[in-house]
Amino acid sequence: MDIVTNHTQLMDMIRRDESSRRTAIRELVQDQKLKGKVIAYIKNNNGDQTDGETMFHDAIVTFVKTIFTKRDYEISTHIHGYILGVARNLWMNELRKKAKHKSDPIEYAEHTPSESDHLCLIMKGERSKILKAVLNQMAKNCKDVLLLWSAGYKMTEIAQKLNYKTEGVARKKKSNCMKELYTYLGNNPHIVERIRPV
Amino acid sequence: MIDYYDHIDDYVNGMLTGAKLDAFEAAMSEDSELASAVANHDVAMGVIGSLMEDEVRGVIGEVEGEESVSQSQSENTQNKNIQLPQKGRVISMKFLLSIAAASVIGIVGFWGFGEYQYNQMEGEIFAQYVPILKVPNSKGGELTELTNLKDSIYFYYSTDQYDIALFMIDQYPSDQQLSDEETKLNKRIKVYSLFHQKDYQKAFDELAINDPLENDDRELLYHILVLLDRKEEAREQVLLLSLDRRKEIMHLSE
Repeated sequence: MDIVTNHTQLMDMIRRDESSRRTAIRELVQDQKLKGKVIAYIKNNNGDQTDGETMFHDAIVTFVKTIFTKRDYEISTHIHGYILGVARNLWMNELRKKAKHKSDPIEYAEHTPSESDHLCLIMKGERSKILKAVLNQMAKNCKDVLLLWSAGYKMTEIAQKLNYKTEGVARKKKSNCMKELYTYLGNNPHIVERIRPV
Repeated sequence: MIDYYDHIDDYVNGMLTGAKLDAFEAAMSEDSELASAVANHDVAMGVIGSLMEDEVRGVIGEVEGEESVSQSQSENTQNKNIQLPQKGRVISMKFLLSIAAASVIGIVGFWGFGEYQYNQMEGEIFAQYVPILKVPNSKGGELTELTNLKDSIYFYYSTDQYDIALFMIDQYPSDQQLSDEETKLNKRIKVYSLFHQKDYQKAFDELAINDPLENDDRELLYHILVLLDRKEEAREQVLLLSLDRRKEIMHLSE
């Protein structure tokens, strides 16, 4: 059976391990029918092809994050319906943000894109690139343990999933990885100031 | 013994009370690294929080890359299958001759203006990813510094290391003869030598085993990655440089 149509299997793959999760994500990204539905919806609602593709990807990111972090969460509808719903919500938020600017005509009319606006946009894009670069400095086994820990997995589960001998080993690993990250950030204040949440 | 680092999350979220809270705050006042970790806790959590998104977007990027390759291969196959009529073949021969001529001009151009092209690549990356800074001109000072090994060493190292660096360039001592600090420097010199011999892949391999990577190495790594046409990785490296350092580099190029 097609993985995408069997949502129990798909959700299980996202939660099982990295390799299965990657397969599940690939299936979703390559699902042309789903992609077509999302893009068509966005195009019918004041968006273009690029907006549609962006929302398709953002919806997959949101979906995978939700399924991974909320382990008791169940979906009763078809995956297509669910992801289309996520894309719709994301797009509505985008439209609301744009409308908010236009709802105050005086402010909007007086507003001319300034240097600081451009700088904000640059900084926003730059922040995600720097975050990615910082992640790339992190050891693979640290990423694995911190990913599971941040998703609320217990140390016994982390030990089991990552083949650590005991819960204590997993706890020690997590502790060491956190220290490494703190040290890295402490040694690179110029990076910290550019990625600190506003 | 209590490892206070394991309790940062609890402290920041107000979960420590009474004696535990007092002990944590006392530890923080004595240990500046612990205090710095507490101050950076929100940033650390932001980094960890972006792990899953990074993984998903990585897979999306892979799939898109594969789709674009397969699309271009399919277009190539279609082009190969087109049978040209007789007149078309004459045109095609002229076309081939023009490509050959263009290639000769291109090769001559490459040797003649190789350095200029190198600058352009540099400029492109700086312009795109460091947009608030000025783009180096075609005779970028930064690149002039890198055209000579000794100048390059001087450019990247403080004056107190310059003499020993020069000694290493001349003598190439083995690691057994050197202190830990000198061994580290010796490894760097090897990388710089390989860089100036234009053996970029070897230089990259040598640099990649140096751990941890410092800012000076990162700058060189950036240059090597650009030359290896690994632009994405180059962008990551340049973004990790301090803003001041990037400004300094750009200033040198004016």
